[in-house]
Amino acid sequence: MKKSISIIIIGCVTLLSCKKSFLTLQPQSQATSVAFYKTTADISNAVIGAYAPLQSMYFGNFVTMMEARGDNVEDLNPGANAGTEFNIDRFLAKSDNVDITNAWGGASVNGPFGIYNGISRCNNTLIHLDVVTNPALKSRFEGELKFLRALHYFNIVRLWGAAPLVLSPISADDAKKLSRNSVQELYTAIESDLTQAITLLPVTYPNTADLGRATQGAAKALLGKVYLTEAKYPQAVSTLKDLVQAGNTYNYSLLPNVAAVFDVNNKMNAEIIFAVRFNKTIATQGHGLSTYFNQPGLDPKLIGAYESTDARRDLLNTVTLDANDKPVKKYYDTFDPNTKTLGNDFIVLRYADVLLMYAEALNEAGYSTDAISYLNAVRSRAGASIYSPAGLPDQASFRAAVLQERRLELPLELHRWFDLIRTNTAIAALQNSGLTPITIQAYQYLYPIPQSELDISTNKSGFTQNTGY
Amino acid sequence: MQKNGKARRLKYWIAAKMVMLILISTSSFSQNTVTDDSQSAHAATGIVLTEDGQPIPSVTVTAKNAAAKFESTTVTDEKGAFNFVKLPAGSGYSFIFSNIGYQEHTLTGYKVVEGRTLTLIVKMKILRAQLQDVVVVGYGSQNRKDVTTSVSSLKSDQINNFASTGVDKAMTGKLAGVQVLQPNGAPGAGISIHVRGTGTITAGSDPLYVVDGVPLSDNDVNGPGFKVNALNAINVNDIESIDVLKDASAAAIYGSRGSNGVVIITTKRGKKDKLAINLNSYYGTQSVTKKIPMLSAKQYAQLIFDAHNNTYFDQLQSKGLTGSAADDNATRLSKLGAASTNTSLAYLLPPEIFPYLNNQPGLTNTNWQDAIFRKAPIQSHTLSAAGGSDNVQYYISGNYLDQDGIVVNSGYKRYAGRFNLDAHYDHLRLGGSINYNYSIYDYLPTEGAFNNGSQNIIEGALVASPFFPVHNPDGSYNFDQFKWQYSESNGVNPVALAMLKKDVTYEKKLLSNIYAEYEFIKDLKFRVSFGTDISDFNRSTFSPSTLPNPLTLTTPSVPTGSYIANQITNWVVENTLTYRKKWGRHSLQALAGFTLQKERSSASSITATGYPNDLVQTLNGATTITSFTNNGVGINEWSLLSGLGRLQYSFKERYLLSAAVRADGSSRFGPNTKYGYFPSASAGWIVSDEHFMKNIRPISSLKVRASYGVTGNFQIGNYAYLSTLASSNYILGSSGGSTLNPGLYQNTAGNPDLGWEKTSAIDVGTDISLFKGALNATVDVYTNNTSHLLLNVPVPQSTGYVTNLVNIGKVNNKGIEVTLSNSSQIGKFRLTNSINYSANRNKVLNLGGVNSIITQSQNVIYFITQVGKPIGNYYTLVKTGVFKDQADIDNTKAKVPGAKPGDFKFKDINGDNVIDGNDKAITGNYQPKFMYGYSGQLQYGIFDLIVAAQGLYGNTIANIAQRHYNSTESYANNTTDALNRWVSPSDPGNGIVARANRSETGLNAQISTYHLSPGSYFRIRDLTLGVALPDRLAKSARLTGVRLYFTAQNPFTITKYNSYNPEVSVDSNPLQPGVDYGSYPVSKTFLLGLNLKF
Repeated sequence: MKKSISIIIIGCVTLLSCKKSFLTLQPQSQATSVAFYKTTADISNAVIGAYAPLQSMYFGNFVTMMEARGDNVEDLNPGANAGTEFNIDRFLAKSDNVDITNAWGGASVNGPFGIYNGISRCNNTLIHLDVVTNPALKSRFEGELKFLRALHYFNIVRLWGAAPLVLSPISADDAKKLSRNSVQELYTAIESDLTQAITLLPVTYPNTADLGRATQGAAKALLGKVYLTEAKYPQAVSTLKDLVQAGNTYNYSLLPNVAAVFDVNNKMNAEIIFAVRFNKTIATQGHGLSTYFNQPGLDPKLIGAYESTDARRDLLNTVTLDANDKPVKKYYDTFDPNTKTLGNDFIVLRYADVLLMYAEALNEAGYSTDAISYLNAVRSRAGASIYSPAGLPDQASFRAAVLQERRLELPLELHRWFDLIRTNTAIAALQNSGLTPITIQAYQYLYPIPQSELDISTNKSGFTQNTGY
Repeated sequence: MQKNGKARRLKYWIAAKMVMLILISTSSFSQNTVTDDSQSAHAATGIVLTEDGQPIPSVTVTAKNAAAKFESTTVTDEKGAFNFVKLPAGSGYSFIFSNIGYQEHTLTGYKVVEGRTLTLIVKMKILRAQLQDVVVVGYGSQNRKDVTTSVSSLKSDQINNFASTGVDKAMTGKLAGVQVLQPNGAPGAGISIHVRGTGTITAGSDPLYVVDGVPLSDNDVNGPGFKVNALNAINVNDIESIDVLKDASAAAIYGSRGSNGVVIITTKRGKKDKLAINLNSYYGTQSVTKKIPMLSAKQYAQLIFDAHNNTYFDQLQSKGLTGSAADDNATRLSKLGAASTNTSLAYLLPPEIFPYLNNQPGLTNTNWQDAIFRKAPIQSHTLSAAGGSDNVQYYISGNYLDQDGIVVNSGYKRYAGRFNLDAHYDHLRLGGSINYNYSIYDYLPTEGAFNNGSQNIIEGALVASPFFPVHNPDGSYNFDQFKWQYSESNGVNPVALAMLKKDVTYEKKLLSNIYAEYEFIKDLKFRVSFGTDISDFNRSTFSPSTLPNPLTLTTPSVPTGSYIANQITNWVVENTLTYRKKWGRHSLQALAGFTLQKERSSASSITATGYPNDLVQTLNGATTITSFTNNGVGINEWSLLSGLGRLQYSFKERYLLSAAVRADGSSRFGPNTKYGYFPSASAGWIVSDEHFMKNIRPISSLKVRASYGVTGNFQIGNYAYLSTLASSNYILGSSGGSTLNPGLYQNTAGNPDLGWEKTSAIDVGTDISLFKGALNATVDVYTNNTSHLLLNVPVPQSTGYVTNLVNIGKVNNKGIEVTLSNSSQIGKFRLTNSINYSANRNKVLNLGGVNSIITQSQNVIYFITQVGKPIGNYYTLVKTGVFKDQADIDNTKAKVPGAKPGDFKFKDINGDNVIDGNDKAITGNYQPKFMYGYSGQLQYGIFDLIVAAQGLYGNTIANIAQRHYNSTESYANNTTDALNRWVSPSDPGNGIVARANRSETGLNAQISTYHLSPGSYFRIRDLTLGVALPDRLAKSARLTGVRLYFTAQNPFTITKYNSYNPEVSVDSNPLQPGVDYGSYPVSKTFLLGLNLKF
């Protein structure tokens, strides 16, 4: 008896202890990065993953940081979200503002995703591109990732100025030692990524299922915007010229009816160069209605500036969806009954913007009446009266006209704040707005670096707060 | 051979029968029996038994004959037998029986006759004194006397002499240092138990529960997607004892799971030779402990009138215009230049208010709290049978609990059964426990905001406008408020939400354990056991077409439904070898063991819509699946492999030493840190047994003890050390044909060095018993240092990540615990009292390089955890008053942007003369300064009175539901506090409440000290009056005991807290405790119970 029991005991112990894998359990419902980046399909998924965070940026924090900040629209609800958005709108936001922090880096698991999260997705994938065996596909992926990375850094440099330039995956310990690279260094990197993207990306995608990916035209339009922002006017002219000159390969055009550009049933139309894509019928792929597109507190001076025949005025009128939701027509869509979301794409670059940029660049490079035609193309499409050369007799008047035209053509499309900074007119514009007048100083052209990012840096001399904050 | 074997078996059979006969005959004797036996000469012999008939060894028996000046002493052997070989013949003998832990027993008036043997059978009563209890310490038990660590215990009589629905309720307030909270009053809802404060920030803070040796899963509390009580499966009536291992030395035997404390629950086992049938039934009603005083319809109408007018005047003022409160809506629109079709502007007056303002009779004035709360019945019936023979003992019980919730259409039902069996043959013992439990939860959403999809019914009822009725005249639900314009809240009728939405969860749970134990040589035992904790949750929800949804605002809506299934299987195998040996004055107990545990959970969650109607409410009736995924869905596993050992040594039964170690290997940790070692040591000295103490009469026993140990916390999720990928999909394609493209990205950096949190703790304590056990005291002081804290440490976001999980950071908890108890008997009065007090101080020592962690709960309230401060402080603006008039605003240095007279003023924390988000300060904490409990029992003859009370002091609650119902913005109904609002400089109210204003100016709505409320309370938990049928009457009814009792639970609470439940805490994240967002209230219950023993 004793013997047999001893055997059973020894049996029990050895049977259960010899199994070495007992403590090594791999997740079955969650993928790990160890097994990833091994095949072309993996890279393809990772590239899609690099586009995805744009969704939470462009209908998310960016609306507050790039649109409410300007003079088109103001926040009417100081109590909402503990005043986070209100403070950005009224220039009260400090370095601990959650929206600013989220736009910078963002949450790592469920979003909202911030810009550096987007950059890391590009970096993590770029270093593994060698597993893609098809050279054409590999180039295209590289082009797409570099376009996205350039877009991210362009937003970073416009929002915060100098910032760490991270072009490959980096450990937390190394990141703590980073300095803020200069604005010039950032722009050099952006130009380099875009120049490469232009050579790597196709003009169009043969398969319509790929519609929405970055194209050569998108990279050129973005590079033009970068040059314009840098005041490199000749370069801006030569880059944008490829998109606007007659018979160019890109075939972007203005739609005859401006409202059709934003029609949710007419996405990726001939005017759209790059847009952040949504689909409300698919769970998590729609978006909510942004506060600033929902019965927005618009500047009456903006509304009053439209001529009576201008079709763009109507795009700022609201449509009632329900008691709480009344979007402006520019962002009109009905809620999907199942996902309770809207499905508009967010247009990042469109042809009207390119025409106006081209006109601006031409004028800044040297006043000439040639530029008026591009301005008028936008105006006449909208049904507004056209400028004559006599009406815009010099560089200054043309400059003012282009800025005003951008305001009329592109409100609520996240261009206004950057236009005001680029033209150094933000201080006056906010003071003279028909909304609550705000007196700001030049340092407020940039946002404060998130406090958490400063706190964690061990490089206190090289990683400093923006002046004024 | 065969014949011999048969004969031998027969002999055994006869012997066994005879033993049984003797035992049966003795047990039918009364307390003591004297028989004469003529076989041997003038001797006395006998046996000493417990009241249950178990022999008591080591009883000192003194035979005394005062007349003959004779005295002799002997000690009972292992079978409880004693023998005086020769006693001088004579009368006037008395026999005194004494033993530690038992009431001294004296028999007098015996006569010793030459040639005859006196046989005595004595039953001794156990003395209820803390030093004598048996304490379960994990993988074994000890006499309280020998315990050198800090363990708090409750015995079955302290648990079962009143009615309680759950183990946690029975524990509340009774154990020093153990904070049992009921953050949510819904039937069957989750509980929160903290042993000696909170030592963790990101990992789980629940203690380890061990039921009959099986460590339970830490996963099933969130099984159905809302928090359920992990102890629901256990019927309180089945519990023999609850032991809480509080210090690290005691808990170290559970190694990596011990640092939040260990709660060991032991269920009742059958006892030899005694069939006891026990019926315990109670029935009662529950009701809400308090109601919050809300404005009546007329008062609310006035609030709306004022609020909308103030907005109107503000807007006129900003445009340099003037107007009057009497302006009608058309005038207002034209003055302010808005289109005449507007109905949703803040300065327009809702037409609904005018009948109330004009005092029209017969108007609706709905009290929504009365509409959602009800008197709810509760009943529970437990029938158990216990007994057994010499070799086999059993305990069987069945329980039915039916508890309706005090909010309409909520409730909890349970059917539970238990079967405990023990058998032994020769050196082999076998046994097992099976506990099967089937529960049904009718769940209601009662946490979060009333709108925004959380649709909290409690908050929904508080904010609901009294202008609207619950039902329409035709009996259907009234949804007028949902489409109400004029900038008022669009809340859904909370009664309709509760009644129409179906949300039912079925839980099946099997807790089982089988064991075999073999004794190789005397006191060397090997035990192998196999235990399981299997849970199976099925939850289905359905929102019918009769409930309007936020899109259409009208009915019929498109129904939506969901189904969640979650199966959790946890098994454990334990092999232990124990040995005990006494030699001379030395005594040794040794334990060595090897265990394996593994858990696998598999969960799925589907939400669907497009049901054509309400006829088929299960998933198959839907046409479209909206989502497959939810947090925690999929397969999750963990495994744990451990070795453990313990030595307990005592010298002269006076000097006690104990040392234990456990080695744990866990799948949850990185390859570099798979294994951890958790040593502990403790020592005790029973000072009162020393000779020099013998003369100090008042001290009957005194023990001092000290312990040190290291424990761990492994509740961090299953694969946290791995760099994982998350899906992040994107849309591509043409306008009409855009499709989803699957995307992936690296969402965590991973950390191969990830290991356990380590708590090293020192505890010094003493147990004193004074005046022969009339007064007992236990005092412990401790300091617990938790290091290697699992922290999601912020990393530079330029890495692409926000945080990384690393072991860094330190937290200290130190405190004192005192328990005093006494029992005294004055005539027929018997009184026992027990008071406990504990104070814990929690302090963060290191946060891995950062000074503070600021988090936000419910998107509105900030918390800060800062070095040098406790975990989880409220971080808000500090409200200092209300601006009385414009001069007050002008004279106040710290400007509140946009503030007008009647708005809040705040403390300028950073001194920049502007109040904004940078003026937040630490304004309170959920952790109490101290807590205390009392339980007392008064017995007089057949009557008994039991009282249990409990209190917390010095905690603060963030009642953020007030941001809706105490905002004076008037889109939601307000409490009667709004009657004291600022109205004008000449009528400034009480200086606490802001002016009514539909479009808030200033920063009134920012969470500030205005939304915090003191949480201290004192509560009578339980008041029970029992009456037992006199024994004689009971016997005539063939019963061994009858007790009828009346219980009042939570009859009184003294608190300044301004909402329902001062124990509330919506978040289980240790960083943000103490938020009230309209949680389910606790109830007071009155019930009548009957306990029958056959």
